[in-house]
This record gives sequence, C-alpha cells and structure tokens, in this order.
Amino acid sequence: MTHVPTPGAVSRPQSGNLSMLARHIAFGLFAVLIYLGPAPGQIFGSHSPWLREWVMFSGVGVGIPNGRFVVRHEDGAETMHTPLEAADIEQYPLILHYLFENRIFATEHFAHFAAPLCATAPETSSVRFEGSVGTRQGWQALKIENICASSEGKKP
Amino acid sequence: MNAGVMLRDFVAWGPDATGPTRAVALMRIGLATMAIVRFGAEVAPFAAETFSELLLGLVFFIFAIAALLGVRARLSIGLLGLTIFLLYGMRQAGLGTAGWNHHHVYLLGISCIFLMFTDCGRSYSFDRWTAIQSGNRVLPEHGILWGQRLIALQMSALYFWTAVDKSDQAFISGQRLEQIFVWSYSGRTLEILLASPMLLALMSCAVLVVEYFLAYAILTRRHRATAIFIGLSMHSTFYLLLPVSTYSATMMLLYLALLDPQSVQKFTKRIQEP
Repeated sequence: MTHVPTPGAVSRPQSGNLSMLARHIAFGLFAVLIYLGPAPGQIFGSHSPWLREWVMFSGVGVGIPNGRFVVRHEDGAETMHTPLEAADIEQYPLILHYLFENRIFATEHFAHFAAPLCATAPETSSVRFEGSVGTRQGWQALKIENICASSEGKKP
Repeated sequence: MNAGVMLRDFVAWGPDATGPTRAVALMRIGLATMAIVRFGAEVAPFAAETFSELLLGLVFFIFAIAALLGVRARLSIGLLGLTIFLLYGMRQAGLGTAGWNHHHVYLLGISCIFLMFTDCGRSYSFDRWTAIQSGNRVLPEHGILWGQRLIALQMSALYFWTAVDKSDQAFISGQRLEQIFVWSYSGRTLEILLASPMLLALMSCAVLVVEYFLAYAILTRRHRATAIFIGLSMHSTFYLLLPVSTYSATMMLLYLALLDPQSVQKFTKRIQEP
C-alpha cells in the first residue's frame, strides 16, 4: 500500500530558512527582469540581445510599397501596375518578412523591387512609382521617377 | 490596505505559492508538445548537417520527451527550457535557423524554465506512475507553484510592453496594421480587409485597449474571468489571421497559469472520476 502524505506536510515554506530566502530573492530578481527588462530597448533605444523586447510584428510590412507603378510610353500612354505585378509575384511569400530580399529601404531599391517590370518595359518608356512605403512610423508617401534608370537595381 | 499587508499578500501569492499541481502538469505536457511542434522538423537527426547539430537534436528530443512524459519532470522541463535558449542564443549569434530568436521562442523557453520552479511532476507523470507501481511513497498532488506565478507575471509584462510598442500615431491610425495586412494578404482572399482604413483604425485601437487591459486584468481576481475570455478570443483571432507560428497557441496554453490551481484540480477530478 502506498503512503500518501497530506498536502500540508510537503513543500510548505519554512519561515526563516535559507531556501525560503533564496526563493524570495530569485522571485524578486525574476520579477524585475520580467517587468523592467524591455525598458532599456523600448524606451531608451538601448537594445541588448539579453533583454527581450516585446515588439511582435512591428517590422512586418516595413519596406513594402503600397501604391502603383506607372509605365509611361513614348506616345504618352500610361499603364498601371500593382506592386505585385511590378515584382512579378502573385503574393508576398509566406516566409519571415525580413527574409524577403526585395524590401525597399532607399529609393534605389525600387529598381530591385520592380526589376521584372523594368526588364519588360520598352527602353523608350519610363517607370515611376506613386504611393507610399511601409516604415516603423507608418506609411511614407513617395513619388519616384525613372525607377529603372535610377540604378542597376542592386541591393547592398 | 497598507504596504506591509500588500507585501505579505504578494509574497503569499508569489514566492510562497503552493497548491494542487495538475494545472502545472498540464502546462508541462503542453509546453513540451509545443516545443516538439516548433522545433521537431528543424533539429531532428534527418536535418543535421554536422555532428554538433545531430547532438543538439538528440539532446533536444531527450529533454522534450522526458518533459512530456514527466520523467524527472522538473529537471527535464528546465533542461528543455535551457536547450530552447541555446537555440535562441545560437540565432542571436547568427547560427541556426531564421526565426529561432523570435519572441515566440523566447516565450516558450522562459515558460519551460519558470515551470521548473513548480512541482509539475507530481501529477500526470511517469515519476508518479512509477512511485505508485513500486509501492513507494507517493507524493501528493500538491507542491510549490511560484514558477506558475512567474509565468503569470511574464504574460502581464508581455501584454504591457507590446501595448507600449503600439502606443503611437502610426499604430492607432491603422497604418501599421495595414502594413501587416498588405504583406500578409496582398493577392490573397483576405485582401478585402484592406478596403476600409476606418476598420483598420478601429481594430488597432481595440487591440491596444485590450492589451493594456490584459496586462492589468489577468493578475486581478475581479477581472480574471473577463480577461481570460477576451485574451483567448484575441489570441484565437491572431492565430487565424496572421502567421504567428506557435506564439498564440503558447499564450493560450499559458492561460492555465492564470486559473486557480484548486479549480483546475477539482475540474480534472470531476471529469476523470465521475
């Protein structure tokens, strides 16, 4: 037959003993780390890999254009393309957003994003972007002319 | 209420917490399962390219399975947490697989470590079963729970700081949510959600209010039931609408830490021993 001690007979903290003191100190240190750990990074911008910040999904959509790419042909006619059409993709890939190489952080990155469009647009045409790009501070309105001529579309 | 009484109540609730152990045992089983779901395919032996990776994978599975079954439960869940933090640290150093240093991995690892500070092996465990089978002294399903309280504090802090991160014009206006949706839904069926900027702004404000509310309410007896309902609804919505990996599922599992352990014990007894 098994012996089952009463609940009160086990694990009841013994006042004044060393293990209780250690537990109280550990709990206090953990509590401080839990509540104040994110503060340096999130309030003062002093980031550390050892102090977890809780900024989930805050970077998703950063560097993604929202607007239209316009191809102006030699005869003055214009054709509109969505960002997905310009990048020649059906959707943004279901990968970690920061692994998407075509994100835009500078105007010269537009050429890289819209490289498929630039490759098919007639040499005598010009391509511009009208819209905005995602940043941590919201959408940044932009109008960029001659995207394809701005650079070779290479990202550093 | 004076400061001395408040401190005494806090100590009784926190570092001195004891009680029935079925809730923390269920969390142990859930977290070990979650770890296997999250990392199984990435650290399994078939994916190893070096001997070190093979060793790492074996260590991970040994601790994960031991924690799942409750073999030396407190030790194994703690070692599983440390192994998850090893993966987290490897990615911080530029090694391993992308995503290992994400918030959901940190949450999984720290929860396993905190669970080590509970008697999570006294219920639903191999340890208990072997003690019963061998006729040895069986420890009661009652023990220390201060790790459970740390998990509750971690959840509260997480809600608070993520709300702080959202407390700016860009989020409240709906722009940041729109960016997330543009990335996630462009060219997909749910692209229709992008049609109404007003709806996005309302959704953003709702999320912000709810997260500040949860940061406070999950720790109060008075609002806990409401907070649990709202919190589970929010995480279910996140899980269905965004590619959040194991984050939402882990958070929903951790809501066990907010329940009264006595109530969980009574509930499980009622359904197991009608």
